[in-house]
Amino acid sequence: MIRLNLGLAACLLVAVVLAVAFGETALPGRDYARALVDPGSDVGVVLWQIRAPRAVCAFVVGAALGLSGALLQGLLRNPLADPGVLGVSATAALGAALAIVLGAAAVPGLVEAAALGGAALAGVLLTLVATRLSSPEGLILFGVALSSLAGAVTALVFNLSPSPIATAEVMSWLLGSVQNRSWIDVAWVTPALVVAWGLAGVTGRGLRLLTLGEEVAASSGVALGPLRAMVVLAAAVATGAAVAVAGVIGFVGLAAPHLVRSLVRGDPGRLLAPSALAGGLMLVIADLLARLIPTDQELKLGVLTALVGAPLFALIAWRAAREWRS
Amino acid sequence: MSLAALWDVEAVMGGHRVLNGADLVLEPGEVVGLVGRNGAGKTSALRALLGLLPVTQGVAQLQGEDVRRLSSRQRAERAGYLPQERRIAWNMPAVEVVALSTPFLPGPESRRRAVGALRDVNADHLADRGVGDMSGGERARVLIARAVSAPGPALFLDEPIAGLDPDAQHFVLAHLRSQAESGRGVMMSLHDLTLAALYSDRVAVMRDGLVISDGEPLAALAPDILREAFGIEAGWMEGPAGPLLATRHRHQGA
Repeated sequence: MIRLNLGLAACLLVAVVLAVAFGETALPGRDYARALVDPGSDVGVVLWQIRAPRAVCAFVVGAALGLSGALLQGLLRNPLADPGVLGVSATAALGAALAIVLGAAAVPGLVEAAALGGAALAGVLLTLVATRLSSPEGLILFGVALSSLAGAVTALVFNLSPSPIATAEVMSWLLGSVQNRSWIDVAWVTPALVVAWGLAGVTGRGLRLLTLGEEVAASSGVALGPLRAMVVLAAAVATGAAVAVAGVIGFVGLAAPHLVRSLVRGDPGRLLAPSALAGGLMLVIADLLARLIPTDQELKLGVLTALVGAPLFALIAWRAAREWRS
Repeated sequence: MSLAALWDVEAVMGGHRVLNGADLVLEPGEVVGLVGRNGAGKTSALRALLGLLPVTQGVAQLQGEDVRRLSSRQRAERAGYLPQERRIAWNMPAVEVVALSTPFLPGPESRRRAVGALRDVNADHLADRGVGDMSGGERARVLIARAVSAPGPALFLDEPIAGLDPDAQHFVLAHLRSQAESGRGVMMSLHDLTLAALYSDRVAVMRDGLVISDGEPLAALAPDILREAFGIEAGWMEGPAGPLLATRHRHQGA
């Protein structure tokens, strides 16, 4: 367990170093030495002010999404749950799109706050529904509906937006990216991840007991109401912050728990930390690929994760369906 | 003091009255078989005793205290439960699933107990296997082991032998008997009336959310009760291993 987390952390470190070292501009070896000695030099600025915050941002966003996915899958006992499927990402995106179109981008932090607000709204709605529905499947259906509705309203915002510039801005933001993110963005998203992690930390036992269903969990000493609220709140905070900083990046929340689940032998309580680390690792690597793949326009991170993630989603759904049938 | 009791309990689920003045008691050292048609209120009675189904009238007690006044953790310390739903969401090793019965113990201690509980149901060889890779019968044993190793003195099991082969049915029921002999109280819902009579100290017959008969098995399952509760014509005869129920449908034959 500790070995797994250390292993993931080591991979992560390597990935971050690679992400800082490699980029569009190839650098000769002695430039790296100069950047280390003199962070203020041209090369130093490229490495420490452009690539490093971008890589760290990718990590924190990926970790937030990986954590959210593991939390929601544990709560709903369903490997197909993730902040995207449940509409948290879409609602956060709607908040940000509204803010941009209404001209809030001029005020620093307002778009981010709107995204967080959208995620919180989704969190509140999901919690309300979760406490009234006894079946996890019902909550997933509600989340799918919420996601569609938020998507439709976002499209409406596009439709009615008077300014093509704002529309282009929203569009580029919806695609999801950590391009040009600074240390300020990192400082913005990190506390949210810490808060979400703090909330998630106390849910492990409850999630583990939910493996056998809500009746067993409730009769084994788990207070289900507070557990649900805690999980959904943690997932909403983490997802909201991730969307606020990087836009909509799908499928990380779905794939990260899936990749490490067998390594913790299915235990949903012990899945949280490895899933967060795996999510961060995935996004650092994906962002490095997005930068290195030679396209005229740099590939957007959200586009890349969706291209890889959607087939994976289909695969998980296929396997899960077969398991349930047997 | 009784381990658990329902006093004149009414409960509603989905706008439908599922318990309609039910009375039930579970004493230490006894096995109580709960029988009745589908929808008669067996599961609801068990859930009300555990505090999982809110009662609208009357009182449900665990060790003499109203379940509504107990925290979920206090309830867990007084009663364990095997619900009808047997889905295990994740492919965890059997020993970890059984260890879920004692979530508040430190991990190693909890796992040590779990291995013991698996050994008691002859399933220690399954300890490290993922439950997703098991047969239905093997998984059932793991779940029985989980329920039985719960810390509470009262055990509630909803159809513990459903889907098991005859050998496994006897094994599980004998295991539950041995729990009662060591001082615990076991209440289980069953559909097999012969097995209920064979393994229970007392049988409670439910109909329409009410306990219509409660007592020594053969008396509680007398022919007129069986007609009323199940709509069957039946009588007890002496079989090679105890009482045996001969039944036919009431519309059948003469």
